[in-house]
Amino acid sequence: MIMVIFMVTVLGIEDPQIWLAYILCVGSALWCVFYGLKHWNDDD
Amino acid sequence: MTVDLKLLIAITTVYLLITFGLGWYGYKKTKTDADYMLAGRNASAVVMALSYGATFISTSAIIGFGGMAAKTGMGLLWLAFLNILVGIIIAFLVLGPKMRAMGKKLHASTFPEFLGNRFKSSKMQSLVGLMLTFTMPLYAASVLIASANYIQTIFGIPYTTALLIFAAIVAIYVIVGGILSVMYTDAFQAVIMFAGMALLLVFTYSKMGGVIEAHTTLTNFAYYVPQDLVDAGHLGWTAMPAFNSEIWWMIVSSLILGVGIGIIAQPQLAVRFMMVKDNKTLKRSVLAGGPFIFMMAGVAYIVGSLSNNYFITEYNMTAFDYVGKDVDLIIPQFINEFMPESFILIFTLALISAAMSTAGSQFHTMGTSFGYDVIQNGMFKGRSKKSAIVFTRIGIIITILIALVLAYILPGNIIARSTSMFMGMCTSAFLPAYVGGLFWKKMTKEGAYASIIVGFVTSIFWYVFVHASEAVPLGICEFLTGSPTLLSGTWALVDPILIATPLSIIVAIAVSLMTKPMPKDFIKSIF
Repeated sequence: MIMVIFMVTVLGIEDPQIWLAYILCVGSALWCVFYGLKHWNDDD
Repeated sequence: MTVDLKLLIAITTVYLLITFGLGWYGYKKTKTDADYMLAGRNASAVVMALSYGATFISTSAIIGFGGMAAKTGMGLLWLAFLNILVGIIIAFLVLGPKMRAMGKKLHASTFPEFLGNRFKSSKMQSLVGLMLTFTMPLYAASVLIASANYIQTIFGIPYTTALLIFAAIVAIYVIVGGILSVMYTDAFQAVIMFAGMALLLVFTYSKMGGVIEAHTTLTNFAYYVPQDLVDAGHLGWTAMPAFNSEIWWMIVSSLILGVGIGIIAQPQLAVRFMMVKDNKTLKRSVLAGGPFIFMMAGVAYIVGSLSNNYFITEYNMTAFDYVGKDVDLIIPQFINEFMPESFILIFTLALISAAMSTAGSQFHTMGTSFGYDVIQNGMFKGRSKKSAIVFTRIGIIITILIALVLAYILPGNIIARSTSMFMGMCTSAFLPAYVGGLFWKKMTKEGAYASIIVGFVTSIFWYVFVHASEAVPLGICEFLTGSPTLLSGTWALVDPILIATPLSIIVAIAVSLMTKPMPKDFIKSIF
């Protein structure tokens, strides 16, 4: 319930199935950036 | 669109000069067959990521699926998430390293050759090459149709002229410079696409009062959803459709699973992993790949949904109703009315870039499949002294002509359907052999053959006789049986990928376990 209220406040979307998809999209894109930076100089 | 035509032509000319310049640069760097087919197995991380992403995202992904989001809502964001998770993270970090290493050990230059060499069957190489020769022009034709439609509208030239000009421009740099030209031009085009979509997102949110305000307004407009869509399960643009409803099945099975997972087994993308020299390059590619896909697919679905705010406020009707229920017109119409003229110019270039980058890779993959896999290695059995470049160039020219003929005769509304169909067929036919070949030592030649054939045939059968979206307009089932589809109710809504792929996987496992394993020495040498 707290999560739903938080997401409605932050994103203006009530349906958890939608805000979860939204958060996962942004989160996975950001994860890619962090992963790429962290492993930039990895040995093969 | 209301743009200054002279300015548009001037900018497009500069854009084409840069594109040809990069195509020429690729040509000058092409010295060997490996350069022409696989970028010398030495592509950089940035070029690899941008080229992969630009090939991945076509005009239909932005306009067609963006328009679909305007109709059905933000549920399509699950597709964007899967595109990043499966298309980038799993593809680059799980499949990519294995494909790169094994492809090199097998001396494979193409996706069909990879399968053929992995299962020690040159006939498999020819078979897969032939399957791609027949099916990929359909997918390429849909990209050509979308491009020609858009160019026709923007520049005010006849459809056929637009079609021929677009195909000729892409064909020139693909035929001359091979994959290096494709990748360099792709990377340039990807930057334009990224800039265009980023501007679109920022401008849309800022003009609609910010993220929360825009979403809240869209939520409050839910009562505008037309009754026929409500009856089909639509619950508003910021809510998932009702579980098990018609729209829910269309979104979940056809779009999210069909396209989201189907991306793994796309030959034109899978072959890219053999074009880098090490795993470090693949890891670095993830940095650009994830944000790029979000900025393309995610933004298209968000903005597509939010376009309803504009059309409802301005015209008191939904985007879908405003454009006469043709989803492909929603995004162009929204851009035309909502955005400033300078943005329309950038967005036009972004769409042309999306089309060119996808078409370039399609042309190259079709050409290698037909020229190299079918003619050189299938018909001539590798005995010809001509180089692979010659055969591939012949293959590219012939398959482009096939795609052009299809683009001329197929209806315009086939764009999104043929894209989904091609991806679905590739997944069902190639996924078990491709992934099994990479990770399962007990996968046999017979198992691979069985899965390819069962996946392909089941997929075609389901499209023609069961899945209503294709079976009804095709009319073959109605002609043969008197009924539009063989099965009704929910079955007619289930995408072929959900039937054909599990079947293909089961067959691959069962047949592999029942047949003689491949030689131990060979398996040891490639794993």
